[in-house]
Amino acid sequence: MALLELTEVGVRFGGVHAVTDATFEVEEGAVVGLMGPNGAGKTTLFNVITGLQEPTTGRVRFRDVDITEMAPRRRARMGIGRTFQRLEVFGSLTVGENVLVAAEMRGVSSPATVRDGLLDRVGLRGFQDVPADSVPTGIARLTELARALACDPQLLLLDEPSSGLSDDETEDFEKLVRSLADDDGRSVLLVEHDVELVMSLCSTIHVLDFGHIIATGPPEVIAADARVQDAYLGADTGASADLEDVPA
Amino acid sequence: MSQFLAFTIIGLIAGSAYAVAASGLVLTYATSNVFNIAHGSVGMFMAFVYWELAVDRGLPPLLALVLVVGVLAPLFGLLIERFMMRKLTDAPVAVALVVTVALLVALIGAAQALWPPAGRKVDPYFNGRGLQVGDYFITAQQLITFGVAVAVAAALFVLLNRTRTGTAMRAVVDNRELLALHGARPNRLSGLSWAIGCSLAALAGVLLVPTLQLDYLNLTLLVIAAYAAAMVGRLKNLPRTFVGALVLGLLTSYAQWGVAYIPASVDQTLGGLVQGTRIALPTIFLLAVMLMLPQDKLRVGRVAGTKMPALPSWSRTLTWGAVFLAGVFVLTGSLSEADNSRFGQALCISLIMLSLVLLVGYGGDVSLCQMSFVGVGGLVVGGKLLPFVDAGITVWSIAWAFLATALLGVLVAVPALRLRGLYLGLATLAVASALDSMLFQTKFGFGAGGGSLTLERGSLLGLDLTGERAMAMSVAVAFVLMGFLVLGVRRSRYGRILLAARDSEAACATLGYNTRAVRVAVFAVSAGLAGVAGVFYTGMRVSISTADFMFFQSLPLLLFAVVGGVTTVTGVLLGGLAYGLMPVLLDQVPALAGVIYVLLLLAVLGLGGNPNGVAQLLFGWGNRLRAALPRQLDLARIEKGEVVGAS
Amino acid sequence: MTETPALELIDVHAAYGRIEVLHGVDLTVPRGCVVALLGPNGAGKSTTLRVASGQMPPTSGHVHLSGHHLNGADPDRLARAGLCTIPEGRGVFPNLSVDENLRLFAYTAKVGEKDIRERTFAQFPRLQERRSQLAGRLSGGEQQMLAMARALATDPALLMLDELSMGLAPLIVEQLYELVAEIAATGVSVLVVEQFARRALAVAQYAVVMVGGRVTAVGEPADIESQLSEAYLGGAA
Repeated sequence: MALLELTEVGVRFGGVHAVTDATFEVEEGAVVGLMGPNGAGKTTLFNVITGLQEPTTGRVRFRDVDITEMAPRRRARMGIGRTFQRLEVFGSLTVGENVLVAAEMRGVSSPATVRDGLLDRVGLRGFQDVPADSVPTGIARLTELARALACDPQLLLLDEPSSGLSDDETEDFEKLVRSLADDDGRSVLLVEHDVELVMSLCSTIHVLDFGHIIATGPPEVIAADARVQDAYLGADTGASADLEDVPA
Repeated sequence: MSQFLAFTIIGLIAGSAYAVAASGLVLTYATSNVFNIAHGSVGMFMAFVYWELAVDRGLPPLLALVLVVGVLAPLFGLLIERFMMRKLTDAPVAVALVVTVALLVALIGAAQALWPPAGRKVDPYFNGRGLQVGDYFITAQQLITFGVAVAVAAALFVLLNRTRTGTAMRAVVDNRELLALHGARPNRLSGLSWAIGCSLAALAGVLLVPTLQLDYLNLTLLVIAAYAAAMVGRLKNLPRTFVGALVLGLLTSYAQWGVAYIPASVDQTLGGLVQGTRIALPTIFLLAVMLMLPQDKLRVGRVAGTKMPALPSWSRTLTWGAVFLAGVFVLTGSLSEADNSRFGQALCISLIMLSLVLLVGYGGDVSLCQMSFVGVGGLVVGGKLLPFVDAGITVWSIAWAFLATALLGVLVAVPALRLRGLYLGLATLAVASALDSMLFQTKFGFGAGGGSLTLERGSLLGLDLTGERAMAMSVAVAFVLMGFLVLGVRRSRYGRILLAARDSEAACATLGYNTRAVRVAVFAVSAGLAGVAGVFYTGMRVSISTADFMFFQSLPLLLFAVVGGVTTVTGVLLGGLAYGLMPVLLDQVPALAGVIYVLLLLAVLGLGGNPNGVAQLLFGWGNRLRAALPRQLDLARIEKGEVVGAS
Repeated sequence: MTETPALELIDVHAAYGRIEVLHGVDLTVPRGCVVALLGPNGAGKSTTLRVASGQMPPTSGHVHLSGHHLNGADPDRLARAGLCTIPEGRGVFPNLSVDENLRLFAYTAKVGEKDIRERTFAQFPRLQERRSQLAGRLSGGEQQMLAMARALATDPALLMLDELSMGLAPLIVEQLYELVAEIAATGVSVLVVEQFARRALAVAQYAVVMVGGRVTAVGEPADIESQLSEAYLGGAA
């Protein structure tokens, strides 16, 4: 049984199909990548999984429970955590408080210890008392990551975590995600544009294009897949012409 | 049957006037994303202008009408769009609400200054003429009102659906930038919609004057009926707004009919509740509509947080608390009994404003009924509201004042917060007027039709409070303790959740928090604190009455708090003292009465609606001083009490 | 080339807040040409277009439209001066009907509303069938057609398209690019910002590649195409 299962999930905004028939799984302890060009529906899928967007069709199961209609906060308590592509840090709180407020939700005996441990882990100890709305993007991304981790999620959804990070920071980030899976046993679902990063981190990659999953497999297979090349560079061959978007 | 017909006609006509007002409100909100809570007061002000022209200056009524509705009101709309509303399009809801509340208060102030209270009368059009329908006589004015509503509906429909300008006005809300890429001028379109909106407010005002009389407050409250009607269309849909307005009109009319059948003795037994409920119908309608609308979804998208002054350390907080108490002790020792009473009452205002720090300063929501909660606290301590609480300032009555008002706060917040934050602020204005008619003016409050209560102060925890100085000191102690409490909340996990929920509801939800529960809770606690403040307010005043808790009283309270700085304890101390000592100034210069409210608007605009207020400027100067001066000198200044304490 | 170019950006810098995203961009769209602006996500393509359309002021540098210096001009003034910008993510008003969307073209069109409708429906019969539907209810492809109809109706001097193909099926994208080629053939200068490089390269006379807020390559489509895989997929593909 997979930790997370999406079955034929579709999302429509008016007549626009943001996601069509997305079916995939995330196994326990796996790092899974979601790739695809801009507007392919990746963030929409994240919103469906975390409950911020109701799917038009399909089901979402987590830990073998159907969570399709569950409120976002209940999913969070079941162990789904996430970061946001367009940062949603708590700007009026300090970096440390951002993490603390999440740790307190979990009801641990010493939230401050959790905070200190996490700030050390993501390398933000020095920013603990800095207001979160005055830190650079890279720091804010790590703040969101630490905040999500403070809830001790079994499944972590990372939405473009490396954008705004420098090369060195990206390298550290890669190690961190690896340790989240290998040492903590968490599952990670990663939306990322840095192809190199996705290829090196993920055991399985799903490639989304205009709302459809067009390829699934380990990095080597994905890299060689002609459809993926087409998705990124524009189809030359009409390989996916059968996928014409259907008017509402 | 003919009675039914008669009340139906009356209802449709009342609904027509609501519809005119509501359509202007919807038009401006839909095209600028700013809810103009001053919509009714624009109508009120323009009705006075109309009186000035048509009655006082003797212009032909029709010419006066054209001048007011066709020239002056649109000009006013253009003016406020250019200098107030344009900046508010992307502002946090609380800021936009505060600025439009400031406009409301300023218009009332200006009207009072320009047209001091006096018996003014505007005759209906074609006075005495009309149409006989069965037993009922429809006046010409009523026919005109109905006709105008139909004409407005038709004109708006054609404008918005058939013309390029109207289509563009609708497009402005969808996507302002895209409209500019089409080559349209978004700012001009917003200006136009505000011009039309104000014109419709003026039209509704002038039409309603013969019924509502030239009254600063009654006409202002038109916004509640308009808001209730507009809520039926979620503030955006004009046809539904018209339906809402007509339904509300019929409802109030039938209620009047029904109430006429209830014997006066029943109303007397119920202590004025029957009449009170009838008057509060728009509010009840509004809350019912809110409960019936489907719950809003969580929105992704962070609110641009207002930077707040840094939180002072505990040692600093304690030090300043002690300095403050010592200062008040010395000061009250040197003042006369009468001055101590004045000072104590001003301090009470600061105490009331402390309850706003949690809600407005930290939570980013707005309450326009805080004085009503104070009144509820006053009723509890006066032994009126709860049969098991005797009159007198005791720990018992303070606790119950908190509980009773907090519970009331929950009842207000739950329906409103199913929807968006904006609706809560607006609902509180309606609740303030409903509490006035359904509680304060009934036997459960100050007696049917209004009245007052007088409190024997007695003693609290063995401390005799009969002297003015002792009472003022107790208020100061309450202020410090409540200040500690507020700062304590800010430091606690609840404070963090509060700020987090304000900054990003979506992120909070993905951490497992129930943001709506958080916001209901903070509204309730804030209401409860206002109730506690009501105990001390009543104690200090000794005698309180219905007039102290009319809906209008809560508005300057909020504005002074924002100008002083509603994010800090220091800020509300300043704001409260300024507001509380205003009557002293007005005793000297009575002519300032209305002008002060206009100045208040300028202050709010000058601060750009920034809720950190004057206090932040002070902190800024304080920090610069501390950086510039040698340390000893700095301390010496603090000991002399020249610098106002940080939070 | 002696003729003034339709659009010229000289050393343009632009920033969101304190974060600079364009570090000196030079870009020329010769009159009557189709230029493709390519590059991976976050390269600054859309920002470049926002600067050119007046939606975002550059922090330094110069923008010339048909030889006129236009730093700081409002987007609506530029639109009336003959610049047609179709922004990323469908340039239609979702809560207005198709007809109402068309009505708004009249701000910049030289012809009347009736002619606008005729021209549009002749090109896109599907839009005529749906003329009273809300634009938000149209399919993604139909929405993009509606957005493109503005370029058809208004005869702009310069047409700028941002991510025309985003979220659309290849067949639709192909149709849309055929239309771009048709519009270009009438003498309109075109700047296309595109992630799906091959499609854009097929209609372009010149291509410009941006990476990390800088222009890294300028040239003929054939030369550019060979470098693209590297820029987009890194070393992985």
